[in-house]
Amino acid sequence: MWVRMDIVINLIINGLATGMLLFLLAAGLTLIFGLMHVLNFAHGGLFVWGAYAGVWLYLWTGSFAAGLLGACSAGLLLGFVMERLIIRPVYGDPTRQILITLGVMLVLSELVKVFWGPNQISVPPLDFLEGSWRIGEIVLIKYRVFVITAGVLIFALLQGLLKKTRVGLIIRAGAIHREMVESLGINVKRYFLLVFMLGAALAALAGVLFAPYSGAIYAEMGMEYAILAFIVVVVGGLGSVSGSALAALMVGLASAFMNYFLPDAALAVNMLLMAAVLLFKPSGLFGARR
Amino acid sequence: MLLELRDLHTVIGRHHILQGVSFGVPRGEVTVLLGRNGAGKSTTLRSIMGLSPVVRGEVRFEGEAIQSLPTHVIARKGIGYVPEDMGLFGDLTVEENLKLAMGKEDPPAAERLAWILGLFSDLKMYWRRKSGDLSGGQKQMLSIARAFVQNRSLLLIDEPSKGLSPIMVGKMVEGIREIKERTTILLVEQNFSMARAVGDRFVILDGGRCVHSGPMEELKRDKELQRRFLGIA
Repeated sequence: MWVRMDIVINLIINGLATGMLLFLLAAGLTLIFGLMHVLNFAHGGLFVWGAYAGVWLYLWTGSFAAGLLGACSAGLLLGFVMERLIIRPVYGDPTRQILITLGVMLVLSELVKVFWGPNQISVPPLDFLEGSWRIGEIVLIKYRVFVITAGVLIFALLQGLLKKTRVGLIIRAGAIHREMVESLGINVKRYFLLVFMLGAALAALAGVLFAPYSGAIYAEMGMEYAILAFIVVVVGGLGSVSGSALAALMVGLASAFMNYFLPDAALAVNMLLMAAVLLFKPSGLFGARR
Repeated sequence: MLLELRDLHTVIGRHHILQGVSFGVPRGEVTVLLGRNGAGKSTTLRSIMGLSPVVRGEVRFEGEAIQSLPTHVIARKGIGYVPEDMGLFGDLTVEENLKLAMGKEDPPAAERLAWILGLFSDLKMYWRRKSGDLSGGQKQMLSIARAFVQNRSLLLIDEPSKGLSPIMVGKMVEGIREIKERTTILLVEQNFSMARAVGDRFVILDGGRCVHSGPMEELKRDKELQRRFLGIA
């Protein structure tokens, strides 16, 4: 089956853009699980709240920058409240973590409907990023290029934090061997709140960036994208931001191509990818090494 | 005594591993903890560090009871730990493993780092290499160096010769002899040759209890004791 090059390039751009959004969602999740060993099933709820808070501010002020700031602030605040009140009492208890964070996910989704109603909200394209660039036969949608650029920038900032600062060193070491970090005299739990809030802010940022990309937001989208984020985290390796970046691009590209050629099999292909990684490299592509 | 264990009981799951361990570690000496597999040697070190739950008894360090303190507080009181699995952060470089331990890079820390790198010069050669890519002996050197750079008055070292070649064991013996001039060591070791080469005192554990202790010279002479508790013919 012959496919035109401009379609292939468009699919690649779509896949990369989707991948970057998934990376933002998965990066926080992988850091939270890697360091804190917390299975945060409410992560999708943070994504939704970021989308709604950000879009609400964008529509009210007319400024997408305000929307971005609002989303990140909502993520930071929700992350703080969640870690202190909900996650802290269940450290070291995976069963209770799963149950309580699933409950929080449902509550966050329902609260969105309470504040903004049950119907989906349409999100208009951004004025300054509306439309596309044309290079020969190839059409590059401006907003998708923006999302890819934003994702690359945030990846670079995260790598800078993790590789160039002492806080980053402690987070990386803690994700590999938490007990040993404590044996070196470092109170790892002090960094839990920081990592949780950072993860929440990244999820919320993914949400507000997703809104103009898809054109509409709805309360149930959190669960849909959280499943993909978990696939990314498992494929990339728990605790590895680089792994999440690579896996997110793989999942994003797989989704883009499958949604074009065989839409019904899109999720199944990603599940198969996760199964293959678990079979042949259970620690993930860049799983932490002791 | 720098460290004293008094009637220490540790339970893990349903297993009562330590059943009243009592012994002391004199300042400035190497005390070797010996015994067969499953005697409770590693659990003793982990209990001192607060990594295994103590249900009864006391651990006194510099006269202060520490058995109920969190691990990071115990470490800051002056106890360094080199676990049996070496506890390295495999994706971090040699430099990063050491810098993480050092924290503030003040002159005393820099002096300790320079000294230990002089002792284990291989680590300088592989400074930017990921610690997971080092050989077994180099990993062991890094694990000990990392504990040493932290200015701890007591080092707990668990089986440093495990899996090492005879040449590397020899290097470990030399290294520990040098380190013991600067700090006190409680050493768990299955390799009796190494134990007798570096140890000043011994404690034998059997079935989670302390069954014998004394100067190393006494154990070197007592073949019956070696046979009965260490399985050495």
